[in-house]
Amino acid sequence: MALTFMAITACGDAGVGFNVSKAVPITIQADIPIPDRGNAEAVNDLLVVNPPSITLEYDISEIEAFESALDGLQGSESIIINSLAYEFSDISEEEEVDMDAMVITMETQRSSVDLLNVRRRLQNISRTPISLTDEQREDLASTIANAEPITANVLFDLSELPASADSIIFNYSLIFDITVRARDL
Amino acid sequence: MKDFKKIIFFAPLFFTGVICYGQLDIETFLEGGLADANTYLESYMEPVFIGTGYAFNSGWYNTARPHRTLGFDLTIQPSMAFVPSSAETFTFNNGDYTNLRLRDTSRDEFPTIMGANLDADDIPEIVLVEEGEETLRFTGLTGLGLDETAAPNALYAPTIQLGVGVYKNTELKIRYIPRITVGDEGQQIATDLWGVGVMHDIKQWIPGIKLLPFDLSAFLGYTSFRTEAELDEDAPDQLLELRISGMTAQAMISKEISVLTLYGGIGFSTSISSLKVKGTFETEDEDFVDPIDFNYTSMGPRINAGFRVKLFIFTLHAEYALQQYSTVTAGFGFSYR
Repeated sequence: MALTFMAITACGDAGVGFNVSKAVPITIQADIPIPDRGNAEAVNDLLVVNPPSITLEYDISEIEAFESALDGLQGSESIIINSLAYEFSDISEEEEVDMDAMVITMETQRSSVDLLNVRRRLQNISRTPISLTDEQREDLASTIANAEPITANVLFDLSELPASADSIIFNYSLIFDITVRARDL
Repeated sequence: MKDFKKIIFFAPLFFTGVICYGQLDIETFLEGGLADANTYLESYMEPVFIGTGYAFNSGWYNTARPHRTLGFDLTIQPSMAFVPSSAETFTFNNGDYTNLRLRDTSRDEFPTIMGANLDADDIPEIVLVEEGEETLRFTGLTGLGLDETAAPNALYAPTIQLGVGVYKNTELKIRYIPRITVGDEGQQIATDLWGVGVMHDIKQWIPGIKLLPFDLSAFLGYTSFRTEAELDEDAPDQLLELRISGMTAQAMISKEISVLTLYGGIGFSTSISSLKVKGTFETEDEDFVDPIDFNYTSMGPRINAGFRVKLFIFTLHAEYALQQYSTVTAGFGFSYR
């Protein structure tokens, strides 16, 4: 009786709501083929050449892990992108090379923005933040909430190549830390 | 809990589920991690059970003078137990949980169900850790926020009580609400209440005060409240059982001044409550038998004071009892001899 009474008289202005947050990693296997080495000379197991850049393009929203994690949340009142990060794994020591540039671009129906453009070494790295503007966060959140496609382009511009491998195969992850704000449940 | 969807349903389903049992999705709750969910929700729900126990322990008497032999009274009264501010929150201790952790250990106070109604942005976050990895973060449950409504932040317990004088200034008190069943088959809720108490005039046994112009008695009373609810018409073994029992022991004194009786007492009250969900619940990964078992006990001193107005055989009374969950009781009835 007491419990039933409470159900009738609840609640205050805030109502019943939750914030649920999760880091959703979108991992793809990157396969950078090694072009014909020609007569390039190996120095310390690396070929000093400047191969053409490789671009990986994929629709994030079609990746199963992403779809599964966000299943049923499209149309949610409020989705917030807390952070975005990237990670490389499964790169062997022989495959580590320098890059002239790594560029991550995301295209939504509203914008296409270079989120990251860095010069760094291709090696195993744990979660590394990508800074986002408020506008970029809102655009990504809106795109996810509306189940619209997000195309990610990742450009790897290597400045050297491993001398022995035929390709560099590794896992590349984009990690979305997302909060869903559910209200008035 | 593998994704957002499950965790979003985890808490609100139990939140509304306990109250509106028909919406309870026990299977989803179980997948959320039974032991941790039990620990959290036991703390979250505690004021409801403790407070209701205090409410049922109130209102046993409105005078310290027992009826004469075969004299009687019939009294109807609601009691209201106010939730103390200390019961509006509880402290989340990481050590009590297997897979749940505070995201920020400096924010470890969470609202209980009788606590403030907070926006989720103002409630601390809990992290679900599976195999050493953080898999989800979610905010705790909000309170009902009864402070924001016209109703006080309190629990209620109505009783109907019969007092009969038996022998040697001894009065037997009986509370009884027969088993009431509502709802369709498979979704029925059944409730009953009974209680028994004994009040005895102790002044008659104390030399030197027998003739003084006041009444002095001792009282012992026990109340049992029980509710059972069917959870699923397709699974008749799935039941929710709520039990609240309480005992009050008091010494009390009263003084009649014309139609007015002033009374007061000192003693203690104790209650034992439980909420159980019984039956077999199947989930994708595992079957659970009798998965939920919350138990609460309370005990503490009780000091009360009140008054009764008697006009012919009709009575009106009200009292306040100072205790962990202080109570107010008001009622009416009729009293003969």
